[in-house]
Parts: sequence; structure tokens; C-alpha cells
Amino acid sequence: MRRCVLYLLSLLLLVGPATAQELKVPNRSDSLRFAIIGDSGTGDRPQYQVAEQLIRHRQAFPFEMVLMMGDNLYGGESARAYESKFARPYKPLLDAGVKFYAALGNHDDPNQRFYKNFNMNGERLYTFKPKPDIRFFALDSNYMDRDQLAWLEKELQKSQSDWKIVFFHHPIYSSGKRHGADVELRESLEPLFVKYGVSLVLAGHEHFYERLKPQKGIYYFISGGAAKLRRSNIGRTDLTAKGFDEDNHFMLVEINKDQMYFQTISRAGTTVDWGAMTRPAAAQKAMTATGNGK
Amino acid sequence: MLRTVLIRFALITALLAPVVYAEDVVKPNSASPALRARVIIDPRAVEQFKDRVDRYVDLHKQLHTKIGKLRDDSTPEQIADRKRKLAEALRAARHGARQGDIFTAAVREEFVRVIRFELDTPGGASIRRAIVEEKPSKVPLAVNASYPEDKPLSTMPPMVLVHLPQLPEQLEYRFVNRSLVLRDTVAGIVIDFVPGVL
Repeated sequence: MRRCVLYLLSLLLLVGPATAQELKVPNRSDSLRFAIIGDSGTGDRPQYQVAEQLIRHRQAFPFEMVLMMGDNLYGGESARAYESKFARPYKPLLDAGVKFYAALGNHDDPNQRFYKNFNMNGERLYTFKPKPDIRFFALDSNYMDRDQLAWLEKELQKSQSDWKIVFFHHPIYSSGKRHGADVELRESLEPLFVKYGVSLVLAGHEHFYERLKPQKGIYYFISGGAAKLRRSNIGRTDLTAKGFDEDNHFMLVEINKDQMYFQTISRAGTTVDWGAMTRPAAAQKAMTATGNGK
Repeated sequence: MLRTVLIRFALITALLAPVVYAEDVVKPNSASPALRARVIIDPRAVEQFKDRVDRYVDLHKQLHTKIGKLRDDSTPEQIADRKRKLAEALRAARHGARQGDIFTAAVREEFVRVIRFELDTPGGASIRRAIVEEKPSKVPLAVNASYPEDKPLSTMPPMVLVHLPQLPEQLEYRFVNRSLVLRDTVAGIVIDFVPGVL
């Protein structure tokens, strides 16, 4: 009997809400708080398990939005697919008013841009500003034509936001063995990112997690393991700051003024990476001001 | 006298043609000098292609308006319904459409030429690899057929797209098997295709 009670208590502890100790981010109420998932739309058990972790962690870290890195629905776009591969696993978040912002992956029908819960405004590329000084740009990396590049340049140029965050499906830096970096896409996009002061670039497509070392002063993350997983797929390169390809994952991110905090959590609820970063332009300014020009 | 006038007219037209079709020559992205077309499609082929594309898009718009356009707050049921209805309407209106109606022989030849030119450049091998890695294969292709929902859409490399005439939002290029496909982005049907490009 006592063993039963102890067992039940342990279970309650395991499935209870995330506690403050588990959070590695400051969790300030005046921050922009969001989550990141990528390659999520399988409808399989791992997707639901990651979703449960997301829901659980939101109780302690009330993120207001979720960014989707593409491959939002695999294998078809019927109403049933939307239900089982998106609406049902994330229902508690949707019911709580959390907004999902999707980018299109190579498994996604462009008609997803009309789906109300992906908040794409009927467009394959769009921009939004959830807080002053933080602007997001969603791209369609499956189809990087002249019009899209022109749109991106115009929007980046126009934006006065301190934080410019771009997200899309195909990573332009990656240590993945299966896909690897899309070098051609990099040649098209990176000059714009550098010229217009993009701080952070997020992508999916690789079915793992990788935090890359800053490239030309820009932070890069790959988060493509919210349902899909390719084990042992991160190659040994000089690009990786931290990689995780043993299990599914999602990310929590918090931005407050010039600081960004992140925490990457596995399907089992274990923190696999976490840290803080200073907005690159602000860090540069601080270095110049102190005379440390290295 | 008339012959001289005609010759002069032809010469002036030939000189002006690159200006007339300048919109189809890529405007260099100010921060991406890498994204420049290395070879230009014959302007006459471009004009022919655009003419047929415009006619298709007019039809698409007409039918889409009649059926009811999708809004940005649509439900999955509405999306699936509109897609199906638009596809059916387009098929009915384009009954008898065949491969080559938009990609005429002259247009096909030019498209194949510029795409293969790009794939044969020093950087072309990696572009070809990227295309091959992601493009679906063993897909039965037919004009007016629906693009299979369970197959991914190939990623279109920027250096291929920069060489092709820009399309309106209702259409897109994709690679399937060894073909370049012209696909309706809302109805999800194959409008035409160029076999043997890859």
C-alpha cells in the first residue's frame, strides 16, 4: 500500500506542471516569450508527447506565441490531417489564446497560408511585430524567387526594430548529414541579413536541434525535431555550438530589451541546452564603447 | 523604299527587344550579387509563355471569384472544399488541355536550355543535388491532374528561379521526376510540364 502511494506521488511529480527550478530563462512578465517547434506535423505519438511538454511548461512560462519552422502537416492536407496533426495536439494552447505563426516547409501545401490558426495573413511571406522593437519575418524557403527577395529587402530596410528575427524551413547553416546547409539559399539571403542587421535566424528541416556558432554576427538555431527525429545525424563540424539528435525537442525563448534567453527541452522534459545572448548590434556597441574592439 | 523601311523597322525592334522585356531580366538584388541570371531566355519565347500564362491566370481568377476566394481565416474544411471545387472548375474549363499548351515547343526548348546551362556551371552540381534530393519521383504526371497530396513539393533553387520568367502568385514551378511542372498554387493541379529537363 505504501509502495502504491509512493508510486502515485512520483507519477504526480513527473507529470505535474513545470516548476520554476526547471526553467532556465528569467521569465519576466515584460518579456516577449515564445516557443519554437519544427517539422511537427506527423500526428504520431512523439508529436503529442512534445506537445504535452509544451503545454506543461507553459504553466510556468506563459509564452504567448509559437513559431513553426515548416513541415507543419505531413502526408496530406485534409481537414482530418489539420485536426490530428495540429489542432488536437496543441488544443490547450490554442484554447488559451496562444498564436501559432507558421512558415512553409517542403511537405506543406501553400494553401496552409489561408488556415486561420497559422496566422499567415494569406501570404507565404509575412511579417509581424508582437512587441515594440521585435519584428519577425517568415519566409518561404521552398521558393526563393526575385519577388520574395525584393519583399524581404524592402521590409528589412523599412523596419526600425532592434530585433529582426527571420524564420523559414531550410537552414542556411547546418551540420546535418542528411540535408546540410542550403548554400545557394545562403548566398541569396545572408547578404540581406548582414546588411540590415538581422539578429537571429531560425530554421527546421533537419530533424534535430543545433545551436550554431554565430555566423557574421548573426545567431542561428535549427529546431526541426518537434515530431520527426533523425538520430545521430549531426555531423562533426566547426559550426556547432550545441547539438541534440537523440530525442525530439522544442524551444522556449524569452527576449527582454537586448537580451535573449533560450531553453531547449527534450520530449522527456530534460533541458538539453540553454543560455543567454546579447543582441549582436548591442553587443558590438558595448564592445566599441569599452574600447574592446576585438 | 518599303523594303528599306521594313528592314530599318526590324533592326529597331531587334535593338529594342531587350528593353521591352527588361522586366524579365533579373534586377540584381542590391545585396545579393550572386543572384543574377547568367543566360537569358529568348524574349520571344518569354512573350509566348507569358501570354499563355496570363490567359490561364485570367481563367483561374474568374473561376476563383465565382467559387468564392479563400480568406486568411479559413478553416481546413473551407480550404479543402475551395481547392477541390476550383480544381474541378479548372478541369472542366480546360477540358482537352494537353501538355505543350503553355510550354510550347519553342518555350520548352528555351527553358531546357537555360536550366541545363545553370546546372552545368561549376556550382550547378550542388544545385542539381539539392533538386534531386528533394524532388518527388515516380509521380504520374498529367495535365489537369492533382498534384499528389502525400508527396512533398520540391524546393526550387534561387539560381534556377532567377532564370525563369516570374510567375503570378496563382502559379509556381516545381520539379517532379525529371520534369519541370507548372502548378496551380490554390487548386493544386498540374497546368503543364516540360519533360526531361533534368
